[in-house]
Amino acid sequence: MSCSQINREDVAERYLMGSLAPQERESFEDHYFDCEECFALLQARRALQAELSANAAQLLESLRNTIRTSSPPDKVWRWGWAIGLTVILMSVGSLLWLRRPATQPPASSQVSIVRQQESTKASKAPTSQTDQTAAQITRQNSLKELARVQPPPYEPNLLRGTIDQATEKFRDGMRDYVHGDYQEAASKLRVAAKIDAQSPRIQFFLGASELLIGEDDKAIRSLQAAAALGDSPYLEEAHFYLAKGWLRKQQLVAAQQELEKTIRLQGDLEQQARGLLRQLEVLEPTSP
Amino acid sequence: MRWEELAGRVRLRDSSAEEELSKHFYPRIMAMAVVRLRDREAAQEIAQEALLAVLVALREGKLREPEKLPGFISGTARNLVNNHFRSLRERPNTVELDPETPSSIDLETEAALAEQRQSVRAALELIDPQDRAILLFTLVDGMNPREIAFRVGLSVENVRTRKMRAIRQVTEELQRLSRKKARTLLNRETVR
Repeated sequence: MSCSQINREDVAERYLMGSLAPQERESFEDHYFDCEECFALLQARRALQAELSANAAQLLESLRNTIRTSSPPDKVWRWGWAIGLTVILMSVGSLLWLRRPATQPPASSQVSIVRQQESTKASKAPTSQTDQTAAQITRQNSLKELARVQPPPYEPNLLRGTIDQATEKFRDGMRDYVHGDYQEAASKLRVAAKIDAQSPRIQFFLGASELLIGEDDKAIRSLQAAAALGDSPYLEEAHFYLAKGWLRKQQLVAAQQELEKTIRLQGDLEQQARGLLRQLEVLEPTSP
Repeated sequence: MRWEELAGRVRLRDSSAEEELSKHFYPRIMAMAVVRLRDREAAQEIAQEALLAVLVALREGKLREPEKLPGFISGTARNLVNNHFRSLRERPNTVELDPETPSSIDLETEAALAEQRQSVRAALELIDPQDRAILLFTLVDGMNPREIAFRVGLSVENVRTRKMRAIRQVTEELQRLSRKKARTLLNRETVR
């Protein structure tokens, strides 16, 4: 890994957020153990992260105040549309007026001009129903963004010795998982889960695969099974991805509960879970 | 050559070399352990164990390629972090060494970080509130530029540009404060 790659690909930031792949992470660590500049860069980012984290509430309040004083994008869009329509109508009206015979316009066209004027006025004033629909669409889009799932990383266990049937099926499925064929992975992992329903890693990766292919209900059941198996290396991730599953189904309360469980475990996903929870809290007041 | 030379001096039990090695690598081991473990206490233990393990290995001449010293140290630290994840509290055998303890280095690291945070605070005051929020969403909430763009009502490119500009501004301010501090220290030394 080179210094230019680190700067170009925001590697230090992704390292701090725990979103580098295992090999990338090791490569970056080996690099900063030997590179003064990149280590200094990392330390500066850590200090920045710590300071931002400590003052998050204040910073968000400051941002809200900034946004309140400027026009939100959807209102700007509506006004822009109204003004554009008015210009078009006036242009058409002017053309018609210029082409008229040199006599008084008939009463019907006077009425139609008045109606055009009225409709222009009406288009300037958005209806409350339009506002509500726009707000719903904005909320849905926000939830969709928050519910987006990245495939959880998988590191194969390289222990030698005899392996049981469930592990064999698991490894088979994970070969497909690693290649991005989540449909096939889910199918094989289901077989593995039938053989060994008590394996947290099988249930977890089955749930993850099902999330990735949009089978949200099945994913939630599998991830709940993984979480129910108690303290395992997959417990934290199970709760985090359960939150994602609930977000997909727009069940915000259930999602918040899973994020709180993730946070309490104080693992790698704590910061991401805190961030998601914060965003949900911002979103919640605007929900209809 | 530098790493070979340092490893050679540690092998000869040169205490100044051991101190130099500790001062250089302890903050790096700590950074790795804190980022991976998210537990400062556990990270401190692992950092001290890693340093001890490295010093013992060097004294016993176990490092076959001394020019790869940084990689050897990062690998040792990583193994201890992975062991911690696997077995929660597995510890290597403790070995008695000279009383030069890493804890003084740890205090230095802590003090340096606290000072840096103060400088960061001052630097953050100078940038736009929206840019501060973009940094918050990036470094604390782990959002990507697309998610941030949606949240703050800007384009993705705009978010990227503003983020880079904000980080550059903070970094430049940190460098300026660091140079100012160095000049102040130099002046004090001169007066003495």
